[in-house]
Amino acid sequence: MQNNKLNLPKESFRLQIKDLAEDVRMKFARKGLSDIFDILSEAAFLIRKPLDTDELSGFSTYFEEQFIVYLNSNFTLGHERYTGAHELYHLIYNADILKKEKILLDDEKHKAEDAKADVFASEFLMPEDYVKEVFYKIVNVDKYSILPRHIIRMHNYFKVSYKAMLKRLIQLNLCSIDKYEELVDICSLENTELLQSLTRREGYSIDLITPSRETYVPKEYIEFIKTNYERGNISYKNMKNSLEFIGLAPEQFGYEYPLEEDY
Amino acid sequence: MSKDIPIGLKIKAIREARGLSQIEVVERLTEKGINMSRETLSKIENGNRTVSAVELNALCKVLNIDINILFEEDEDDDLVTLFRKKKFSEKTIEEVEKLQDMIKMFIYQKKIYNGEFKPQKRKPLWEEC
Repeated sequence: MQNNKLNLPKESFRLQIKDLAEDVRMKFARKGLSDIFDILSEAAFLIRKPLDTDELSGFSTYFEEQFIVYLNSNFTLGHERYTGAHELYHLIYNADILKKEKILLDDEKHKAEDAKADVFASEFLMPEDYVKEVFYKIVNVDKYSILPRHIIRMHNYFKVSYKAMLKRLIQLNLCSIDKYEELVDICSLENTELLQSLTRREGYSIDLITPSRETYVPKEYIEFIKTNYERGNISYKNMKNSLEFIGLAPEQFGYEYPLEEDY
Repeated sequence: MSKDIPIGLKIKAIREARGLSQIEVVERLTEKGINMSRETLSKIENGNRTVSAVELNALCKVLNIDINILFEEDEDDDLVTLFRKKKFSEKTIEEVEKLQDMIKMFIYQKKIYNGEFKPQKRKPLWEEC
């Protein structure tokens, strides 16, 4: 099988993006941030919410003078984290385009930037040297002997999807490209239960291969709503509606239905 | 100004931008034959009471604004329009619309928190109860 069938980038291109990924990783490591969701929360207003569509994994936007990253938690957690790293590239290296065009979705005009964002996501979440180090520590078989359980160990270590890890191992020549079809089959929709069962047998939870369906907004926004209400700047109804967006209710914070407001 | 920000808050923001107090606005409304108490205006601004067409018309005259401004949507900032242009399905567009409402609500809460909208001070609720 050819590399290009797997859509793997040329080595010179990959190495160029690898440098960018390392720069960004260092930048956030200095602040003590390493998890992609924590990093996105620092860089933008992060929203994770399940949407009833599989057409949209996520997107970044510049909306009312604020960078916003949205991730669809209806996709598997591994997929969601990859999308997050993809969007991090757009936030950092496409800020001007985002400010001008508001959104940057798959289209001809931005195809090159999208390709860079994909390579960035891979380099960011699965650093080359560390993948090799972990591989020799927890797998350590030759590239023709890789089994699904080895990929499972690796993808759980790096908190990415099974498929992303498999492609990364092939790219780094730790897994033979001839094994791809055989190994990728297990993460197809038809084999969902088999992959889950193998994952459990390896001692891991199935969190990465199932959707988290989590709704997340920065905690500070809950504080904004509560404080605005307590200062008398918004009504109870407004607070209730604002909290409802994230599945919360005023009662959970000890607020009772006010007598002075008529509904 | 976004159409998803409640009309009452838009009225409040414009009134404050004009440097008018609620008392001054109700006095000017009286001159136009609309009897409205300051408390009622406060409820309208805070979204606790609906505003009739007659009252809205009079408020727009007092504040010297075109009524359409209150219902305008800024297309450049509208995610639904942008996603529709990218040919996403109606199902996805509907979901993006819900998401956009949520984003607008949070940005609006942040603006109030930061004092970018300066709502009329009410007594804290625990003192009113």
